[in-house]
Amino acid sequence: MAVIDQAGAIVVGAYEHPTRKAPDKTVAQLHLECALGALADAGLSLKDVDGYFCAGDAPGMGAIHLAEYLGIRPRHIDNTELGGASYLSHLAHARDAIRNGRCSVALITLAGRPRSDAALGKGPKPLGPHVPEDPYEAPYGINTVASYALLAARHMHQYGTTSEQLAWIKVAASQHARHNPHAMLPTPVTVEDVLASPRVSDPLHRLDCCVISDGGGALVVVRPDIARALKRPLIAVKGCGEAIKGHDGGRVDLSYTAAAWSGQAAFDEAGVRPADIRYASIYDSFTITVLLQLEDLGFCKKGEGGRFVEDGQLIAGVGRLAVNTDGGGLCNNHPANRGGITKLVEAVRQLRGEAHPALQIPDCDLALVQGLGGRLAGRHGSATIILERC
Amino acid sequence: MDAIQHIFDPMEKAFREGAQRKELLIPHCESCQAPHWYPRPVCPHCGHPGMVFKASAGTGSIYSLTRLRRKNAAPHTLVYVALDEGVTLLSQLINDSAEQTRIGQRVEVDFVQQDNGLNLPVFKLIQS
Repeated sequence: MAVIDQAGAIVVGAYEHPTRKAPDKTVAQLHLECALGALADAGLSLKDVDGYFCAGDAPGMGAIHLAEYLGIRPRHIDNTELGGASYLSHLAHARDAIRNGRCSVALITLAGRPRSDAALGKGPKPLGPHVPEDPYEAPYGINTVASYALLAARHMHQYGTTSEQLAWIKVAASQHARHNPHAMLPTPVTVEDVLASPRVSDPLHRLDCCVISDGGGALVVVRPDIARALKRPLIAVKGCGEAIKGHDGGRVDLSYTAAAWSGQAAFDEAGVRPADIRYASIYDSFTITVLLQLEDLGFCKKGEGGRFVEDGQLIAGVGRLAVNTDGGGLCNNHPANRGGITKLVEAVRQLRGEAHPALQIPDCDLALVQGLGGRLAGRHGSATIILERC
Repeated sequence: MDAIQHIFDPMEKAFREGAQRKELLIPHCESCQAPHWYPRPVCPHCGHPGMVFKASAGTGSIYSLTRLRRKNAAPHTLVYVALDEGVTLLSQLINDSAEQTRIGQRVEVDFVQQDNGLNLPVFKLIQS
C-alpha cells in the first residue's frame, strides 16, 4: 500500500489569515475567511465540506453557530477543547474520522480578535463559575503569565536555566519574523533587549511573552483518493498523541509537561525519533513554554533545554533545529490567544517547500508540530502531530 | 460570616470555617490515608469515594515563586508551597522582601481577612 493510503488522511489545504488587527471584522467572519483561504488552497469549496472542527475560540456553542454561518452541513462534528492544542487534536481526530468513513473533507478553523476586543475593553471569554480549583486558587490573583513564571522559576532552580537562555528563544523567533511581512514584531531583538524589557512576573520579561493578535487560520484534510485528484502537495499525518496533565491531586511536579506523553505517543505511532525531525513547530506562548516542550519531546535531555536553545540553536540555517520559522507566537501571530493552527500551517509550508526561501529547510520531509493549551503550571492539554511529505 | 452561609458546597464551607478558626484543613483519603489538594469528594490517588479534613501543621517549603507586577495593582508574590504533609498548593507569600526570597525556604501558614470577611490562607517566611 502506498504511504498516502496508509496515512488515512492527507492535509491538502492550509491558510493563515494575513491580518493581525481586525477591528471591523466579527469572529465568525474571520473563521469564514480562514475557511475560504484553506479551501481555495486545496482547490475545494465550502460545499465539499462534510466534517467540521472548531474549539473554544468559536463564538457561542461553536460548530452549532458556525456551521450555519458557513453554510455547511457536516456529518461529523468535533468541538474538542484543548486550548491552543485543540487544532492539533482536531487534525488527529479528523484523520481517524476519515479513516472510519465518518467524513471525507474535514475543515478545521481557528479565529479571534483579542487585540481589537481589548481596545474595546472586552476581555477573553471567561471559563465560567464552576472551575473546580477556583475556590482554592482564584483568590490569590494568579494569571496566565504568573503561572508560566512559576514554571520558569522552578526550572531555573532545578536545572540552572538562565534568563539569557530563555531570551535566545525570542531572539530565534525574531530572526525568523524579520522575513515575514505579516509578522506583528518584525524587528530582530537581542538577548540584551529581552533582559532589558520590563519584568512582568519574575523571571519572565515582557519580551518572553507572545504577541496578542487578531487573526486565525484553517486546515483542510481529505480522504487519500480525493487528495490525489487535487494536484496539491500531499502531507500525511504520520503520528498523533494527546494528553492532559494537572497537579496530580497535589503531587505537583513542574519539571515536565503533558508533551512528554503526547510526544511519546506520536513518535511511537510514526515510528520515528526526534533526530529524524527536520523542522519543528513548537507552541510558544512564552519562551519557557518552548524550552519545556523541547525537553519533553526528547530533542534534548531533561534539564538541558537551556543549552539546547542558546547561541541561536533554534534559527533556521544556523542552529541544530529550526523552530517556528514563521516567527511563532512570540513574534508573528497568536490569534485568539491560542495559536495552535499557525503551528500546523507553518509545518505544512515547510513540508511543501513553501516557507520563506531564507528559512526553508532543504528537502524537508518530516516535521513535528507541538501544541499546548491551558496553563502549563496549572492544568494543561497537549497534542503532538508528526507530518510527512508523501 | 455571612459569606460562609452563601457557600453551597459543604466541602468548601468546611474549609472556609476552618480558615475562620485559623486552621488550614487538608483533605485526606478515608481509605489510603493520602492527603490531596484541592479538596474533592473522591481520592485522586486511589479512587476511594470518601475524604476527611485534617488540620495541617501549616509548615512547608517554597516549591516555586514569582513576583507578579501588574498595572494598577501592587506587586505580590505567588508561591507553590510544598506542605510537610505532602501536598503542594498555590498560595501567596506575605511580608516578604521578594528580591531575597528563594525556592526551598521554610514557610508557615497565616491568615488574612478578605473584604468579604473570610480568612484567606497565605504563607510567611519562617525567620531562622
